[in-house]
Parts: sequence; structure tokens; C-alpha cells
Amino acid sequence: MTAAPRWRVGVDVGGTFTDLVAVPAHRTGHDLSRLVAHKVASTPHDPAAAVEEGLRGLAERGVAFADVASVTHGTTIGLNAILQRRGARVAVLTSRGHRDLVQIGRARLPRSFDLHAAPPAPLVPRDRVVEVDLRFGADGTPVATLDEPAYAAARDALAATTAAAVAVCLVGGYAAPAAEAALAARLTADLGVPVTSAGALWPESGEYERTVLAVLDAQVRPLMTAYLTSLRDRVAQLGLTAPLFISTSNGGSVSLAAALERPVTTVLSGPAAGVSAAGLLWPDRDVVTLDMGGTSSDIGVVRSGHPAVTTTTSIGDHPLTMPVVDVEAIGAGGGSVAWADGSGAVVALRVGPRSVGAVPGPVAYGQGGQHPALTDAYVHAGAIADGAFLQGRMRLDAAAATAALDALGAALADPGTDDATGVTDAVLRTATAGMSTRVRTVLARHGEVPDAFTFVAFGGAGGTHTALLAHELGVRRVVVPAAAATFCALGAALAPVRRDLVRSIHARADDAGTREVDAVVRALAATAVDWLQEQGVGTEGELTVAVDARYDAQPTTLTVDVAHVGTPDVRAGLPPLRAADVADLFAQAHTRYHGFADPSVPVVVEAVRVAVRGAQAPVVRTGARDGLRTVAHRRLRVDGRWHDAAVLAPAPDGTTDAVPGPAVVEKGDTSVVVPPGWTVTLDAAADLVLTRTATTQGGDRSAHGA
Amino acid sequence: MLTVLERELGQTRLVAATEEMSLTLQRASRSLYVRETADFACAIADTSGRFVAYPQGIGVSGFLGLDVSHAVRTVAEREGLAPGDVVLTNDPYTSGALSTHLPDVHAIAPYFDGDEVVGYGWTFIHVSDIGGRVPSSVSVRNDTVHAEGLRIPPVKYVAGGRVVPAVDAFLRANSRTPEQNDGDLHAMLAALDRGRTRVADLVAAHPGDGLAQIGAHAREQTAARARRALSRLADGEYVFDDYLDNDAVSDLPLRVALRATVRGGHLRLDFTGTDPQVEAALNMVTQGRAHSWVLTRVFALVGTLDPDVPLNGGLMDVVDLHAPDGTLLNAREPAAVGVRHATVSRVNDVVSGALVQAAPDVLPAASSGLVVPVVFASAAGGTVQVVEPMVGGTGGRAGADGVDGRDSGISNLANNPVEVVEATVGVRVLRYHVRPDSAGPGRWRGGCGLELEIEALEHGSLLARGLERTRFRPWGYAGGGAGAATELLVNPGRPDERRLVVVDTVPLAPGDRVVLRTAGAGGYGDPFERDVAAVLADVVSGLVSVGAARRDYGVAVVDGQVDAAATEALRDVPRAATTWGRGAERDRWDALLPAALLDRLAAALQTLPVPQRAPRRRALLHEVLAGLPQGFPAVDADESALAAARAVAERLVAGLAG
Repeated sequence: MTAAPRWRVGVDVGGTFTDLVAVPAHRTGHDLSRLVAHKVASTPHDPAAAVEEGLRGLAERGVAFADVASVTHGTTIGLNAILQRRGARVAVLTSRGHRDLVQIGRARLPRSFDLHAAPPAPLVPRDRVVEVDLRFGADGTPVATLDEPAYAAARDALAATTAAAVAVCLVGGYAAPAAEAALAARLTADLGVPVTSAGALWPESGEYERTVLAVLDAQVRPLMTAYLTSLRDRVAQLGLTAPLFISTSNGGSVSLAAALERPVTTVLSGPAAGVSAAGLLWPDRDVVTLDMGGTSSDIGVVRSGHPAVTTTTSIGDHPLTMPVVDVEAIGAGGGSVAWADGSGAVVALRVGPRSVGAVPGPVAYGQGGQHPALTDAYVHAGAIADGAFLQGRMRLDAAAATAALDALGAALADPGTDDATGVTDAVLRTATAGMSTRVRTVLARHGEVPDAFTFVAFGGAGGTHTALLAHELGVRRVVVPAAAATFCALGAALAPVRRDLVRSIHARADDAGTREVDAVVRALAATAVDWLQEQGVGTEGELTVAVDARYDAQPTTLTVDVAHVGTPDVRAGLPPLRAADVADLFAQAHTRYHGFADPSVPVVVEAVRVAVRGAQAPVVRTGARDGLRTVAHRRLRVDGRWHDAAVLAPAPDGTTDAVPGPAVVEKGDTSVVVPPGWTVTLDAAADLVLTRTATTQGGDRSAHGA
Repeated sequence: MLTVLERELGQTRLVAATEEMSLTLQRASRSLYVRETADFACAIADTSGRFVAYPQGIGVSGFLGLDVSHAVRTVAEREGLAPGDVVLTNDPYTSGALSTHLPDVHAIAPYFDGDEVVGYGWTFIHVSDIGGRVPSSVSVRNDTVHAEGLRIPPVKYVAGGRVVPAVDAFLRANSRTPEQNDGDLHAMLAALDRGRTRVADLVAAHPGDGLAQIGAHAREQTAARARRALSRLADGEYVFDDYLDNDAVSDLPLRVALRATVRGGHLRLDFTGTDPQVEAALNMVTQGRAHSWVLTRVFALVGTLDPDVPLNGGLMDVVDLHAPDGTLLNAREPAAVGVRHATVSRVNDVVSGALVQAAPDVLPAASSGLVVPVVFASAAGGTVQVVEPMVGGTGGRAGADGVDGRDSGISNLANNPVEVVEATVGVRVLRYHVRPDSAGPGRWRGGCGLELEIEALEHGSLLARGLERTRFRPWGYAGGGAGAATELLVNPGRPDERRLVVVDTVPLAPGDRVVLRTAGAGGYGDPFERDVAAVLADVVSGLVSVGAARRDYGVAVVDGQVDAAATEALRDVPRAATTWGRGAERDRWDALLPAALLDRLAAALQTLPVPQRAPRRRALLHEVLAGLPQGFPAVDADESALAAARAVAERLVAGLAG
């Protein structure tokens, strides 16, 4: 053992910047007060170049490669390939009679009141779908078998498509994953291209959704394989021999080998990392994360350290049914355009959905932008100011912003919005109202109301707007974390390895049926424990067992946790699942979610889910010594009034007491607005904590100001 | 007076409130209709009774133009309204056509500021069963509304926050699913409570007439936007008619006729000429006024031209409607109404057919226009389950082909995974794919229909209501052709093969197979002008056969390649220019019974007492058809027989008008 810290390194590759964070581990845990952050410009033509440069930068800041324990890398290469339709040319092999399963999908159109509505372009065109006389019943027995001539015909038809990758998805394949995987392996050997078996990848009932997963997997596999193997080699050439992990969409990470095996599990890892970071940092709180960027704002929901996970998300209009951290867009970003909408009887102000984009950007950036954006309202309001913005790297032309807002005012009908100041108030109120109503709706879907949540803000504009949003929603506590500017990289650094497994079954939760469920649980648990061992992070970890269950004749299922166990216990032998426990836990969950339970109706289990997670890195959140010091004063427009607001900055001689708003904190890359009725402190983890002190309710009343 | 900004923000909050109401309802509900088909809605009305705020994309959109005022006035005038009251109704005839059929139970809560009503919360759920002759209450063969279940005239279901026990007792005693209904009613009350809280927030910020100002603003903004959108339509008068396959008591088709007048972004829809109300559940109660449910195609048109238009009652301000008393679209008590959506889906086609003439670059040709929930009822298990809700495609339009195998024109339903069906229903799904050679040909072809083949694994029966377009095919426009007709076959290729047109229930034994091919949608533009590469792509992908490419598109494909010379020769043949592609069956029918004659027939029938009209029409048409070959108009008749039958028709109509 050496005294030098062991670093966990996280890398987040974004469109503009590649962020890196290194967190030192000491005896008591990972010390966030001493983390090292570094930002370099992204290199979209060769993303690994920026990663390489960033790692060198970390080394220059004292992170010795020899002392690095792990590097966890979040990448959007797969996602971008899917969204830009640059993935590999894929062919599909499916059962006869079901050639159009991708085309038909779930048959819905995106909008009802649209005579021009069109479904997304199919992932695979009809002429690249090959049918074969093979399918399986719900119990996994083959309904038809494949003889050699039929195999050869299918193989040749697939070869004729000249596809670079193949997805095999047979009807009933979820019930016979081994048979389908064997077919895929044979095709891989014969065709010389990667072949994904949908049943082996994700053995859940639902042929369309499973096919989409397999096709997406096949689309990104060649690209991801090339990128990740080259990254591994380049990192090794730097002399960094620590194992590489890849961030996954479920908020965890996997070994490089596991990522190459199932590349589709990584595609939505970007936004997930920030949400799971909040869960790791504040395991005891209920948190709404707000990631406000240039074009939009995303929120995630974390309850008691567990990010809300969804199996109903979509990617480029295609369903993604693996569990991923639930991230929802709630509207405006800093670049959202403020404009006068004259389509109705009177002219009305709108903010978004169009964005000025990075180029030309808001008017205040002075890069040729002509249309005022939300950021221009921040500038006019004094929420962000020239010199301090992005630590002076980006100059702001406040006069240009004001002129553009004045011009917008001239186009609006209201007497109160005829100048830049009136327009600024209106823009901030409109954006806040739009976001707050969306937050309410998203939380209503989770069965929650905002009041009890802490808001954790990160991303470019998160700190600037979050208190206004929190105020409107009646939220009492807002945290802008120390690592706000590199929060997703921090999430990557800390993310434990994690894998989700599923298996569809169809069993009543009576004694006989529960034995069937139990056998599946044991099989999945064994797979999970073996997998954890292969990740090279030790054998300590945690297993969550859940079932998708419903009342007989109910159309939809609920996912119900039925066991949490440590991995050593799995090896020692899981306690058997009991029918009465399954029924009880389901009744509790049903009551919680739907408000009632009906013990007279039999419970049916439709799927078993097992999630395995490696040991979580303990986090130390003390040790920061700075306080807040008033470094200047400036005019700040908030609540419809001008204030002479203190400009605060972290300083060794600053106060750690609560400082009342109105104020602006300039901290790193963010400007944090503290409205009147709120206080701000810099805590021992170097996080800014905003607390509401006024007793007024949020909502319309307080939003009026004087 | 509130500023524009305050009114806009108020509107944003009210729309969000209706979304919250919807989510509250969805979570609290127990019924299949809410969870599976989203057959519910929530909204907020101001004191005018019309909706100020309606959610975008949660639940049923087509009711945005309803008016709760008649229902609440009925109760208020009889017994007064107080805070905490909730009015319940499901009866089209006594609710001012608020409800359109009995399973839709509507609940309305007056929201108060002090002792003054400032607005209303509204919600409805399609409940599982409201009594009547058949389980689930809806059957096309119900002959009056009395067969369709319990009629609930507007009554207080909740008084001062407490459920009225007598009303509750009536409700429970008149449903096969009282527990599920009770859950649905409580879900509606929870939604109305959520709305009350949000409206109270708003009223506290803007006391007095704040909500009224916001409501007027929201509707005026929407109406202005709708008018602007509809000003894309060329001014003029446009007529069109189309048919339902049959009236459920005979095999005679039912006519829906429309004269649409467009003036500066305003629409007048006159349905004079539409057939009389029938003794089956195909009638629609509008009370002769513009009704939200028959205007969904107009809303869709506005939504197409202005995708961001806020949904609210303002959309009703751009349309007037006239439907003569006692007809399909203005049925008089006690006409049955359960399957009114089938009629409305044909109304949609008629509206499209009229308005495509006013905006040929916007509206598509006819969509397939059917939803057939294919249901398997197991003999042993007693279970009744939907295999797939089968639809067709959407029509071709200037600049784009229609969509294959998807059609949101009636309801935007999701289908069922084959694997889930096979694990729970006693059938195997042998084929479920896009139906080749079904699209109406066109420069922009229609969307293809779907093809489903199932094999029964156990004894049971098949139900397939909503089977439409077996007789007259979805029409093409601007030279485009009609889509293929719907076909339902039992045991195709076997000696006991049967082709069905009207389906009540079909008994199935293990091994029996059923094939349903849904209609293809109409094409747009001359198919001989279709891009040759597009025709080839359809041939390569298998959606158009080599033979159809040659016949319908004049494109010769040999071994997967276009034979350019042969194609040029094929396309060089002069052809008659056509506007409508209705298919030969419809052309024969129109040759026998031209629109002018049918208009006169409709006018003459209007002079009879309502109960006599439909039987009289049937008798007359049977007499006309008696001289023609069996199967007409699917089979041709020679010119002399046709002329004779036409003469009979002229004589009978003249006699009736006499």
C-alpha cells in the first residue's frame, strides 16, 4: 500500500467540450473536496484525441497515471450514429409472416390532429428483412424447425443484402434465447459480420421492441468496436494501465469487454450520468436534477438515492425498452429564442422552442446573432455579466442584448412590455411558467408534487434559472454542486458497474407458479454474479430482484421489487421466493401507485428483472474551507424589480453563514441568482445551497412581484 | 383587464392543470378503456361552458369542442349548484349532446370563488359497461337507445362533497361491472379535485373575472389561428358523398352527403342529403348544431396547417353545421348511438372529399377508414380478447405517399405484440404484415392495408365489428386510384372456405384459419406520372407486384430492373383524365343512383314521420335493385338492366316526393 491517492477518473464527451474529473480515494472514501476537474475542446472527427489530451491535462494537474484506479468513459458516439442515421447497414432475420414487424411497429402515428403525420423512417427497409420458417411458442419450444436447405437459403438471402451487421429476431425468441443465440453464432461464422440475437440480448416478450434493440445494437456495434478498441490502445500508450469502463444508460458502467458485447446498453449514458451522480451524492434526499443547456432543459428524479428508471423511453422515435435513467425535457434552454407570435388575434410573447444554437448564439455573444434569446434576458437582468461570464472567456455585449429586447418589445402588444426591461421580465416569467408547468406534469406522472424535492442544478444555465423555477414551484432548497460544470464526468467517475437482466415468463403467483418464478430468479442471479466477477471490480455488490406483475385481466404490469441481497448471499444461496410475499409486495405497490389493492384477484407475473451493481464508492463531502465573500455589487432584475445586489464569490476568508438574496454568486463557470426571500451558503462540500426563507407560496401570486 | 402576458401565462397554467387532471385520472382508474385505449379526457371550461384549456396528446382529443352549459343549467335550474357538487350524465338526448353514447360517463364540477361560479372542471371516461342488452353495452344491432344501457340525465352525483347515495345505488344496479365503474367515477372525482385546486390558485392571482378573461383570450387566439389556417382553402362550394357498407339490418349501404361552403377561413358544413337515422347503433346526436365529434377531420386539418394551435373551444368558432332532423347526423330520440364512431369515420372521408377540392395540395385522398378490433372469444375460458385492432393506411397526397398500415383517423390505437397475444389468447398469429398490392395507385400512392392470418388453437369464436370498405373502396383523387377493398376469409383454400361481409360472430374450431385484409388507402395523382424509381422500389420491397407495376403504373420490371423502353411504350398510351378514383363498384352504383336523385330521395323521406323513413328507403332500394344481377354493384349489369332499374328509381322517388 502506498500513501498516494487512488484516483477514479470520469470522462464525459460532449458536443463542445470533453470534461474530465479525477476523484481521489482515501481511507474514508472518495474526497470530493479535492477532486481535479479539467475541460478540453471536443474533437468530433476523432473523439479519442480530446480524451487523450484531457488525460494528459489531468496528469499535469497531479493525477499520476500510475495511481489511477479506473477510467470511466461516457460516449455519445453510438447515440449520434443512431440519430444521424450513420449506423451500420443492418439486415434482419425474422419469422415467416412477420416481415413488416419493424415497419408496422406499434402502429400509432406521432400526432392525431395531423393529416400529414408520418411514422419514423423504418430502421431497416423491407427489402433487407429476410424471413425464415422458424419460430418459438411462449414456452420456448420450436413451432417450426429449420432444415439445412432453409438455413442456407436464409443465409444466402442475408448475404445478398450486403449488410455490415445482422439482427436476428424470431417470434418467440425471448423464450428460447439459447437457440436463437446459437443461430446467430452460426450466421456470424458463415457471414463474417457481427450478428446480434435479440432473444439473447434482451429476452423480454414483445417482438417489435426487442427487434429495435437488436437492430440498434447491430447498427452501433462496428463503430463502437472500432472506437473503443482504438481508445484502449491510445490510453495504454499514454502509460495509463488502469481498466477502462464505459458509462451505461442505466446510470452505471460496464467493463470495456462488456460494452463491446452489448454496445446498445451505452447509448443513453450521457444524461444518465448526471442524474446518477445526484443519487450518489445525496442518497438520503429526494432530488430533481435540472440540466439546463443551450437548447433545452432536462430533469431527472431521484428518490432516496435511486434515480427513477424507465423502460418506455425512445431514441430517435424508436422505443428503447431496456431500463434507462428517466430524463425528460421540460423546455427552454439559454439559447431559446424569444419572439413575437402574431398568429393569433393579438401578438403574444413566446420563448422557444427554436434555439439560436451555439452559432451565432445569443445577441449578447456578439457573433452575429440577431434574435434575442433567454440568455439575452439574463444579461439585461444582470444575472450574468460581462467579465465574470464563463470566467471571462466569453465577452458579453449587454447593450446589444438590450437593443434586441427593445426591438422585441416594440412588436408586442402589452403596455408593460414595450422596453427591454419589461420584455426581460416577460421572457423570464414565460420561460419559468413553461418549465414549471412541465416539471409539475412530469412529477405528477411519478405520483409526486415538487414541494418536497431538492433541486440540483447543473449545466450552463442551470444555476442562473433554477432558483426562479424553484420559487415558482414552491421548492425550498436548491443545490448547485461544486462540480456543476463537470457533473456528468463526476457521475461517470463514481458510477458503479451495473447490469440489468430480464426474462419474460407467464406464471400465476401461487405456490406452483412462484416456484417457476424462483427458478428464473436463481438463473438470472447466477448470471449476474458471474458477470460481476468478470468486470474486474471485485465480487462485492448488490442484487435487486423485481417482478413485472399484474392482476389477472389487467392490461398493464407494475414492476415490484421483491428482494435486495448482497452478492455473497447469492453465492450462499438465495432464500426461496414465497407466493405470499410476492402477492403482498404487489398489493403494497399497487396501493401505492393506483390507490387500491384487490386480494380476490389472482396476481400474474410476466417478467423477472435482476439488476446487479458493484460496490458503491463511499463519498466524503467535507473538507472544503472556503466561504462566500462580497466582491462587487451590480444591478439585478428579479421579481419585476431592480435591486442593488451583492456579487459573491468563494474565498478562503469568506463567510460560511447564510447570505440573504438578492445576490449573484459567481462560481467557476456558473452565475447563480439568489432571489429575494432566499439565502445562500457555501457548504463543506463546496456546494452552493440556496434556501427559501420567505413564507410566501410559489405559483402565480409570488411571481408578480411588487 | 389582464395584460396579454398574464392571459397567456394563465392559459399555460390551465392547460398544464388539465394535463395534471388527466394524469391523476389515469393513475386512479381501474378500467381497461382508460389504461389500454386512453378513452377518457379532462378539460376546464369557463362560465360559458366551453373549454378554455384542453390537454395536448393525453386521452381523446376529439371532444375539445363540447359545451357543458346545457347539462349544468339543467341541474342548476332544478336544484341549484353549490361548492363541492359534481354533475353526472351520459345521455346524449338530455345533456345537450354533451355525451355521444352511453358508455361515456361525463362528470362536471362547478368551480366557485366564494359563492360565484367561475368555471367548470370536466372529465369523461368510457366505462366498461353501463348495462343494456349486451356486455360492454355497445352493439351495432341495438335498435334504440333503451337497449344500450342506463341513461343518466344530468344529475348531482356529488352534493357538497358527498356522493349522493340514491344516485350511487342506481349506478351500481345498472352495470355488469359496478366495481370498475366505481373506480372510474372516483378517478374522475380525483381529477376534478386536482382541477379545482389549480383553478383556485389562478383565481387567487386573478380574482373576479380573471378566468373569463383568460378563457376569452384563449378561444379568440385559437379561433384566429384556425381561421388563418383554413384561409388556405379556396373559397367556394364543394359537394361530396360516401357510404357506410350497410345499415346493420340489411345489406344496403348508408349515404353521408355534404355540401361544404368555404368563405375566408370559415366553414359551413351542410349534411342535407344524408340518409335517415337507422334502427341500429350508427346514429349520432348533434341536435343539429356543430358538434365536436363530427368535426375531428376539420380539427386535424387545422392541426396540419398550424401544428402548435392550442386546443380549445375556439376551434368551434370557425365552423357552422347543418344536419336535417331525423338523419344519421342529427338523430332524434330514441335512436341508438353506440357505434357512432363508424358513422363519424365516414363523415371524415366526406369532409376530406369536399375539402380536397378546396385545398388539393393539403388534403390527402381517402384513408382506409376502418378500425376492426379482431376479437377471439374462447369457448372454454370464457375470455374475450382483442388479437389486433386492424386498421389500413392513410391516403396519398400531393408530394407524399400515404402511410402503410397506420391510420389515426378514427383513433390512434396501439396494436398488440404478437408474442403477448400468443401467450394469452388461444390463437397463433401466422401472418401480420403489410398487404401487398392494396394501395390505391397514384403518382403518390395510398398507404397499404394490413393482412392478418390467425389459426385457432382451441374452440372459440371470432368477432370483427367495424368491418367497413368491403363494398366501396377508399377513393383516390386527382387521377389516383382506389385502394383494394377489405376482405375477410375463413379457411381460405380449403373446401369450406367462406368470404364474409357482415360479421356477427364466426365459430372457430382448432385448426380453423381466418384471414383479414384491410382496405388500402386512395392514391393521389396520375399513377403513370409516378417516379419510375419509386415504382421499382415498391416492387423490390414486395409492396407492388410486377403485374400491378405494369397495369397500374405503366412500368415494366424485369428481373428487378426497369425495362426503360417497354416502360416508355406502356406510358405512351393516351388515357382519359379522371378526377376521382372511386373504383368500379362505386361508379356502377352512381350510374344507377346519381347524387341528384338521392338528394331528392332524401328530401322526400324527410316529409315522412321519422320511424318510417329508414324502412321506406330500404323498401325502395330493394325494389330498384331487384331487377339487377345478384351482387350488384360488385358485379356489373348490362346497360339495358341498368336503364330499367334507373327508371324504377326515378319513378319511385317521384312517387314518394309526389
